[in-house]
Amino acid sequence: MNERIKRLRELSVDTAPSVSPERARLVTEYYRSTEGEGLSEPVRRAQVFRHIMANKELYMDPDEMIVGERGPAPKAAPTFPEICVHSMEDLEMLDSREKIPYSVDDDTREIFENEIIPFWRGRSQRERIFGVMADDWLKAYEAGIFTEFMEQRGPGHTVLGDKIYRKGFVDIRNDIANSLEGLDKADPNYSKKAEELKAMDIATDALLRYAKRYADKLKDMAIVENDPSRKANLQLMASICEKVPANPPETFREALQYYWFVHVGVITELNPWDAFNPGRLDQHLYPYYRKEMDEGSLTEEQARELLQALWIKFNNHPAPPKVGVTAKESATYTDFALINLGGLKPDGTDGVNELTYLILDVIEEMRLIQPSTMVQVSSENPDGFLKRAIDIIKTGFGQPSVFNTDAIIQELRLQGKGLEDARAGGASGCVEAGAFGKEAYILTGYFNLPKVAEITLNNGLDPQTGIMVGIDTGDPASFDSFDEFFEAFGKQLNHFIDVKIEGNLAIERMYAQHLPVPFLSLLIDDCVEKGMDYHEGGARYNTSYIQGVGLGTVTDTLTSVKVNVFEEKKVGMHGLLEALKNDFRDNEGLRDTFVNQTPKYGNDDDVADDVMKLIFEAFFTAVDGRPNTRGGEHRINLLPTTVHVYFGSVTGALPDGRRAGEPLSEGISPAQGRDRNGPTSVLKSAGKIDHIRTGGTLLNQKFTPQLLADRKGIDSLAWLIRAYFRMNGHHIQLNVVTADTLREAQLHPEKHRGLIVRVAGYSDYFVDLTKGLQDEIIERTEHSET
Amino acid sequence: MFLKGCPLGCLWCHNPEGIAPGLDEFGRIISVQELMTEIEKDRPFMDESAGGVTLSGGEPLSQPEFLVSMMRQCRDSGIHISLDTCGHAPADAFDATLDLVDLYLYDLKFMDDELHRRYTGVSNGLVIRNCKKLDELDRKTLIRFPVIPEITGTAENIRDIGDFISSLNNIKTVDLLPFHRTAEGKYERMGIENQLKGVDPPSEDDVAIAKRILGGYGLEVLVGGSA
Repeated sequence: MNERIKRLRELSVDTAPSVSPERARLVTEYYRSTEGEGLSEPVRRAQVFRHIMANKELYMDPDEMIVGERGPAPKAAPTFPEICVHSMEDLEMLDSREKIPYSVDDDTREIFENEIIPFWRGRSQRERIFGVMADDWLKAYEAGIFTEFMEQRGPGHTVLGDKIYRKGFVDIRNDIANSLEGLDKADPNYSKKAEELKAMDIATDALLRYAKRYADKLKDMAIVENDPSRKANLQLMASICEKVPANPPETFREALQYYWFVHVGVITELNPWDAFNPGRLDQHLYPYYRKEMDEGSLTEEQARELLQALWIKFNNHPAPPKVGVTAKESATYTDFALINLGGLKPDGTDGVNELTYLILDVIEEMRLIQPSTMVQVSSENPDGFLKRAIDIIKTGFGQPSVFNTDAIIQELRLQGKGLEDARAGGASGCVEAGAFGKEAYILTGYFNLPKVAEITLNNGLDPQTGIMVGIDTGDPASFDSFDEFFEAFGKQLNHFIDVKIEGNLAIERMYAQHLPVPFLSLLIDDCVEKGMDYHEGGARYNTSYIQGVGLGTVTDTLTSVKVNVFEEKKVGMHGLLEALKNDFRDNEGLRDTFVNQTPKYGNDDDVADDVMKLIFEAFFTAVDGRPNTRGGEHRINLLPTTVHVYFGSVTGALPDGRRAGEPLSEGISPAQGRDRNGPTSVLKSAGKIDHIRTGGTLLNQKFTPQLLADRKGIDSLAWLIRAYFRMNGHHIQLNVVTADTLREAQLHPEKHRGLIVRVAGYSDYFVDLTKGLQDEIIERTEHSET
Repeated sequence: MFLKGCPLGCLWCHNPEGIAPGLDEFGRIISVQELMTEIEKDRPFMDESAGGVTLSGGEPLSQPEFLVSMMRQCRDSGIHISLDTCGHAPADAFDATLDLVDLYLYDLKFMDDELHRRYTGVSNGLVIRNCKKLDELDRKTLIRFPVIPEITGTAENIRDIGDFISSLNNIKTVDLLPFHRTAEGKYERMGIENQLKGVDPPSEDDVAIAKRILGGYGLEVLVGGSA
């Protein structure tokens, strides 16, 4: 990278995240000044948005090539008090905590104490939600059976399609006017639609003003700039900001700037989960790249530099600071904007192009935690593309992850999406499948499957608190068969899903009513056409997800009950419950049977994997197809982010031999250390999940960098991935093992049984090597990390 | 797939658990049918990589009937077979594999019979006979030569190996396998003496020299399977 990019990158990486009061202040100011004016909620929200965009500070570094920041400076993260007010204690915690801190200066504290908190206390969305949730919901939430995504961030998880490359905001304004004109006054929803469209128009104006302010500022800066190349850059940027977003982009650079303006708009209007995301970046930008390369108006180096500038922009924007359980379970600065590369074109042909490879170079060179990146791999895509991605993966910063395009398309088709919409889609956030630009697919919360097993074993009672959180499904000691036990598990599961969905419906309505998003609605088809907000069901497709967590742990748990209690009768139900209550103290022999002599998920063993399929079926049936309030349906996916640690902390000892408080298995991976037959067996077990009926599954696999030292290693990994994808696997994330992980494996071999390392041309289980050899590999791994 | 039992006793053996025949904590009895079920589990990976089954040990030819019977089933199921062998097997047992194996991974250690006896415990007569048979019938074969410092890795032995391979008509590739210490933990756990304990792997220079010598015979030389 050149000096300019290097400097901007360093600034982005070295700046510590901080809390900015700017947005909260502007929002509060506006709400206060318009109190009692009787505005419709969409119009009020649009005006709030315009007030922010018209008054927020314009950050500009003289070396920048793309302009726009959510805060007044890089890494300055705003808060969204209309959703969640940070208390003084929250601010203190953010400022002082060891991991993922956000600095809070004295001025900010003062503003919060005197202006923000007094105004919003009692009127934020978070308080509204906790205020109306039913008792069952609150009990389950507090027991850690599920989490709630919308209690401090807005529904998001959405990705832009190709709209901004076809239409300028002037065109979108015309569409809004046409839509308004076409409304039927006899429609009982006429006034609602009219207000929403009016709000959308205000929202377009907000972004146009923001761009105009930048154009003016850049012109002013150009006048006083003496350095001729900087001056030229400022003048060029001023003219770009005059052109987009008002008009459709005509150059590569205009396209990037247009996207970035829109991005800043979406993440300023509210704080949607997963920020915002250009989606299929190589597909959208390739026509500009090709045309300008052919004309000679763009060089590869210039394109690379502009992409690098975009990467820095993403990295400048840490996730908005969270509070409470969500802060605990989602401990990361990453905001999950996931850029998709490769995959298919809408006509079903190979989408990989030169720009795809150029973007992969950028990912490798920038080595930033944001944006997240992934490759979509279809059977139509060349192996060279997958192998280039593996080349980058092996450098060990967790990117890009690898997705199965053919599975994603089947998943989306099964949910009723059109073929072209499915092909133009992909995955966002962690692994969630979506029809980009056309779908509001909202993750509503993680669901703790092993906890449901624990509650079934205790007939509805949570043994951690003694509180009755579930329903009476009978004393398990009275059950004569595993079928009876599983039926009870199914009833508890259905009960908690009912409670969760009831909560989801109420919360969806609250967002539609109190926090519509007219700006985001401009960007997602068919909100403008329908005159309906994104939160109301304006998108073409509307999905609500519940994310199952702990599939490996719950499978091993139920398998152990089936085998050890009912089939082989190695332990009675009373004995089992006693052992669990005591966390296996004085009962290590039983625990050994559970851990070492009972079939486990992840070993291609049908005894365990058949139980997994039963659980999948029960979870799927409980959720899939249940209507939401937006004209769509609930679906499942299987992913944890980092919640398996929090969920583990609230779950006691389980019949799989897991001790109380230990993390649950993550994603669809086997429980930690329970896979003992190598990676092919893990993939075979995971391949037995019916991925196509989910909206995404997450599989992590670890390997040491030495395993991929040569071509042969990379080829083998590519084959492994292709084979998993033939089994319809949705996603695989390959993590390079760090020296720290190896040290941890040295100390706790039982948790790392499956970890394979490459030793001098041979591979072996790490835990089986001598201490000396382990040390040597740790040293080598450490070496390759630096 | 590792079959138990080996007629040799090489000092540098990295699978010492495979040497003793018969059932112990490292082995289990399995029928051909059960084994085929296990192999079929990996079908998706074999299909994708055009891979198959590699039979090793121990010495797979120390269980000739089982070996031939399972290899027949693999052939009938279209599964690629690689046989990793020391070549020390009676002619009739060895010849029974000739139409079943897709790729031989064939070890040569010493051309000098005296040295061969000293370090492996057996004569190299059968090893040479069987190797010539493979060459004569032009079976796909990769010669594998373990480079053990000061044992097989002497310049003289390397030249002997070069002389022999270059005298063959069809076999032209040799893969160097530098000594490594992966097995130290196994020796410790099994409580058996590891006579090469503490011996360092050959240096990169040593391997490069071996590669150059053999290259001088016009052979294609790989190291650990890579060019």
